[in-house]
Amino acid sequence: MKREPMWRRYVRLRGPDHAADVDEEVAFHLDERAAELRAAGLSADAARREALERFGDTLRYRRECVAIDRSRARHERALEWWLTTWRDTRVALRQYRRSPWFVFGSVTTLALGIGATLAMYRLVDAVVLRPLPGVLRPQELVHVAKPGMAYPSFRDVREATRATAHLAAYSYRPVTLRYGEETTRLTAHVVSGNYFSVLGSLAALGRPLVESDDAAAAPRAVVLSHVLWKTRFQSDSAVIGRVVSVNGSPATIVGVMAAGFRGTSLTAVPNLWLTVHGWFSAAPTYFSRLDLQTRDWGWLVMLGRLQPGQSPSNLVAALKAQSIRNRELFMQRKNAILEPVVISSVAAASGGAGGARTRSFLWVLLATAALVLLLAWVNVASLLIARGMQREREIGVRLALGADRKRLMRQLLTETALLALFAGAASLATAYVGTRLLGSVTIPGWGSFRDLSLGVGLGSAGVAVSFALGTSLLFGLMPALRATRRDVVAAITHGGFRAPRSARMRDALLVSQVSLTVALLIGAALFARGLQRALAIDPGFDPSHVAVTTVDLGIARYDSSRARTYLDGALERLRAIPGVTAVAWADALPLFNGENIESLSIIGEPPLLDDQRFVEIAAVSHGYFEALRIAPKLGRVFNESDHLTKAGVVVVNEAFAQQHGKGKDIVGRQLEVGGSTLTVIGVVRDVKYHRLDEQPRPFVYLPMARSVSRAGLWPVIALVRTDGRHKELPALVDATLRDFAPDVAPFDRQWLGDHYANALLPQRLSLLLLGVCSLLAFAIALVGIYSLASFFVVTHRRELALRLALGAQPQSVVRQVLGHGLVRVGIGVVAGSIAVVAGMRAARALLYGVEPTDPWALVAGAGLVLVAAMLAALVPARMAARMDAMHTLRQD
Amino acid sequence: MPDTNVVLLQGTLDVMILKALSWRPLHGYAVTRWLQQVSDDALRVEEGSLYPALHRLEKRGWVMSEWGTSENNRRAKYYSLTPSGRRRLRSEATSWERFAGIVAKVLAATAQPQPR
Repeated sequence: MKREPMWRRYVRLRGPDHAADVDEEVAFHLDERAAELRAAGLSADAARREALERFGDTLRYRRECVAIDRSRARHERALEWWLTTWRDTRVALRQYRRSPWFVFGSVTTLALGIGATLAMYRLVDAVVLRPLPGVLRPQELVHVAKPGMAYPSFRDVREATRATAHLAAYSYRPVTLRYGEETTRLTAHVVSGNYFSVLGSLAALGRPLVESDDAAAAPRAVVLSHVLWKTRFQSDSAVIGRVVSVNGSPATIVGVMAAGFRGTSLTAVPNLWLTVHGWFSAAPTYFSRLDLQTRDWGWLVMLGRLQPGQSPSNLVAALKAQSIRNRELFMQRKNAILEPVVISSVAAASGGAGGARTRSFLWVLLATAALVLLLAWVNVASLLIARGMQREREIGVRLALGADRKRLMRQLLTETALLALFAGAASLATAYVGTRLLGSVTIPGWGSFRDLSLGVGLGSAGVAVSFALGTSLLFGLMPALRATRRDVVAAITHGGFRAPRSARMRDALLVSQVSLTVALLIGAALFARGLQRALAIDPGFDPSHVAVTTVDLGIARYDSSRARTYLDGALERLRAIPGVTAVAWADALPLFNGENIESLSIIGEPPLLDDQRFVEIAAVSHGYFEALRIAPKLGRVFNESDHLTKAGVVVVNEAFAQQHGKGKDIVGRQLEVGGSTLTVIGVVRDVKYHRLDEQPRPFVYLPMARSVSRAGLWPVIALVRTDGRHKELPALVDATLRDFAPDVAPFDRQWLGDHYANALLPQRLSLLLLGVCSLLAFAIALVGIYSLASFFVVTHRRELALRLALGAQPQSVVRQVLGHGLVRVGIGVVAGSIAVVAGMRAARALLYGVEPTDPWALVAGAGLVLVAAMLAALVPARMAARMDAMHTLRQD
Repeated sequence: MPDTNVVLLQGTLDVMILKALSWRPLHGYAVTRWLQQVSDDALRVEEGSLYPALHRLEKRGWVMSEWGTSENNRRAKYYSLTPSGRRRLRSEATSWERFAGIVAKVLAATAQPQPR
């Protein structure tokens, strides 16, 4: 036997009263000395005095001794604590080595749940909750979400509300930047001269824009974002003072903002900043009819910094007072006083309306992640509880053998804490990977999170570990606590299986697991059905092998005659690309955002009903219907010479012909669209213009050649169809256009097929999320059902064995075990189905007409769970039926 | 009472206590008595100063204590050497002897310093 180390003996001497011990020791010394002196002939008094004299300062020595003893006891206690913890850890590790699947299961589930939630939370935090980088005291900032302001109105309102807040104004505008040989299209933040001073933001290099830059006579100044400076100007610090061309007009770089600065925008990082006057003097030609001084053009958004002691409601009151005093300040329409809407918190202020959409999307993602966390939690809870119950017998034996209850608890505590530590570390790793993934995601139409600095900070680490710790302590210690308090004899003889409260808890967990699983599975099935239905929809055009790219001739400051030359010449160049079968221009494409509406009347007919007085239009060049393969039904489509005919011509769709033709032939009839008279020359197939599940609606195609002044100066889209030989067609189209006119920067190039696929992106994303979650949940629930059935078999093995011994059929035993599990599964299935039917009503828009009560989805989801549950429970049930009854009965 | 009042060097008391305990466990008073006896009463220190020294030795693990019964049947705290205390005594004694030997040798020297 190993010799007991010395310190163990000290450890046992814990807890004495140090002061009393020292007192006794000193007293003994004094008494002995006095006795000896008395024996030498001194009187009792004298002996006592002499003894004290020789001893010295009793109080001091006593104090010193007590202090030494106390510090010794402290050291020993600490040493003991560490040694016990070390021993407990080793025991726990040995325990876990024996059940690696338990550790793997609980750590992975917790890590997935916590990690996913943390990553999502970091994203929501970065976008929604964290203060804006480079902005001074954002809590004082307010955002005037509505109404949009005309520039002179903004100037007036700014003066009138000066006592309440310092107001600034901004807007987003696309611009082209030419530096050296390359022209690129960028997003500019067009701001009032006081914008940077209101935000309290300084430039990293040079200076920000100031009030004096924002004047009609001021030289055009531009401030670059850090990213643009880095990528386009190679972080050259000599860039200040250099002249670039913005929309074809010279502008001087005066500053570079700090990295991360994005104004008050949510996710989009502006590439550069221009003043209102600086931008307007280089504005696209389609703004040429407008005057910066007009009050009919509400294009600026206001934000402001509240004066000390002022509240957002004061600003609302001040703005309202202004709007009543001077209606035109706020007004595009003369008869209404718009209510200013002030969003006070800067988190809510950032991003405006599009921001609200992004935010709600993020919250949905976070909620999904939280659902996974909930599932993980339920799973780990049931794993821990099951383990706790399994160990009750072991704990009972240890207690019976005289184990200290406190020590046992400490041991179990160490085990759970260790598990939590593993899970916490794994969660952090998951969260780290998750944030990296999220940072690399670009969602079409939503933007990218790349520019936000996501990271896993100390705070997240704390949250992860404490959550893991909380879960494992709660569910890991509860059975242990109960087990140690219980009657030792009962625990051993019955194996600790008379645990009604804990069993009820397990049942509840199983039911919630099953219902969550059923809800997620049915949800996934519904989305799958919706997607299947959406994919089966014929959009009416053929998006394959078509490349699209957009040009903005207005921003290149073209006039209409130059624009017409460009459009014709570019088509020639594109048509010359080998393998190209059709080329066209259009100002709108099916399933792209936005719609153009014009007034409509049919000549020779009574005025149209209210809901038919306007019609959606698109201006398209000849070749458009061929490029998209939209089948003509009647008459003809546009040809090259249509712009030569004196009378305008239009093509309408079938829905239009049906609604307005009234059975008669619509071809040859005359329409008045947006004030001009046009003759219908043909009818084409209906196309899905906005959503795949929309009903056919009337649509009018105008020839672009005639309406360049209207359409050609706004962004127009080039369509190029090939025979499929080009893999990089979009890039080729861009290069051809750049080569044709270097001052026009094509943008948003893509395959039309990709865009078409993106039309279903919300459905695909939802299906993916739900699919992954539901599979996870499914696996978890199966484990739960299996362990419930095994547990039932183990607890009832005596009863089952007795029945078998008395001649019961094995099938009846199987039935009994299955029945026990399936009742609970059934409750869960019903609850989950009800929940999903209620919950999916909100997601109806994404389901393409599939009802939330869709029988296929319900049967598939619920049936899958029921069948799988049956199979999972069958394994232990068969084992029970096959057991050696007599052996089992003799065992206890 | 002899005049030769020796000032104890730091640590000397510790070695002497360890030595006292090297035969058998003793209580504090017995240690005092033994010290006075073997030093022929030449060591005149306050008897109380022995106790912090004993407790310090215990804290360092060289000495351990146990309550026992004295010769006249009273409860007394007995100190005994631990194995590490015994090792300590040995090494301390050796270095003391070497130190004392060197000092003695120096003091007994007859050759005077050579001028350079």
